[in-house]
Amino acid sequence: VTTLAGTYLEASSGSPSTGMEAGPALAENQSVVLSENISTIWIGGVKRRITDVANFLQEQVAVALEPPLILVDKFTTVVAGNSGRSQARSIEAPTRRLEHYLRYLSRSGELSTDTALFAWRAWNQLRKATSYSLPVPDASPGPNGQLLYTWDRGEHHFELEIFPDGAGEFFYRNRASGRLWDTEYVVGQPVPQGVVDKLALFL
Amino acid sequence: MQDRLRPGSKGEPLPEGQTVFRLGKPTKDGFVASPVHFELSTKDEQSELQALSVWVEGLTTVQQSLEFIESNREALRLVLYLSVDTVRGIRPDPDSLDVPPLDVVWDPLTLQNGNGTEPDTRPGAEGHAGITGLKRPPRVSRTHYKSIRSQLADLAVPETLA
Repeated sequence: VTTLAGTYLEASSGSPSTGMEAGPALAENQSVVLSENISTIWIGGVKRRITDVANFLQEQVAVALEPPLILVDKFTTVVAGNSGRSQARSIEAPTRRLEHYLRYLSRSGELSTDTALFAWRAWNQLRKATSYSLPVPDASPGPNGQLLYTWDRGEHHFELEIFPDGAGEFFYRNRASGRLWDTEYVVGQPVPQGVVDKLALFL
Repeated sequence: MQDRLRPGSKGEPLPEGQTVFRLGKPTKDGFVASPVHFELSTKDEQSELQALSVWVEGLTTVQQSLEFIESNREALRLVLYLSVDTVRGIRPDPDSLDVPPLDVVWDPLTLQNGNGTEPDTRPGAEGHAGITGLKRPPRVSRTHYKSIRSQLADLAVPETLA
């Protein structure tokens, strides 16, 4: 499903009663639901407890959006070393707060679970694109099922609006010069360089 | 002595010097105005005035405005105040002749009465108004409208609803 430094995570379909040992590998972009009665998963030939996997993946995927289920979005770029031991960075409090906020919106029905997952994935993409130094944005749901991320610093205002179908729109406004800029985006697609350049204003 | 403000007819501009407020939900970071607070809902777009719902301070209290919210009113803990004159002065930057001006107009509430409607006479109903000009015409870029709603968020004065 993903590789970095030679280690990979393999997710397969299988019987809940027997864990994740059988079945073909899942395709990219396929969401999987790991329920409470699945206690183990195979990673790189090693059987691991699902709770460890959840911790392992938290940097890259949305987990536990709807306890007791664990929703895992597309597995991408799991950070791990050659030994298979996780080198994933711990999630700092602001990111945890964003995760909790998205979970709250999803539970309360203000945002669909899909949109919450898109938003979480987009945040992780942007984080990665800025070498994990991007401040966590403010966030707010819109009236039509979208979620808006905003970054504000002095004259700089930047937004990412994420729609229920996974489409996104970036928008920049300079309060001093009036300069405007925008571009479209699809969650999961590479982050445009112009966006990375704008995000650098907030680092 | 200043005359008491009287509500106008549907679509009639509010007098200068008034202040309106809009109810909203706090963002993740708290009681701040976000551009999404000034986004028209699909219901707003389909309404006759295509206006964003606001209330005129002086005719409606915040507590009265909450009585008109049908569901999840406890989530609306943010009040955003805007000067009518300020709203009318907002233009996209850079400006475009294709972008109609924002206005704040009266939008009297009505109640269903059989097959017809009748004026809503509940306390505070007379202060209902709307910000028009937020519906993007097809020929105008979305950038201009994102600029406008961002400016509205900058200019709104937020208050926490106890």
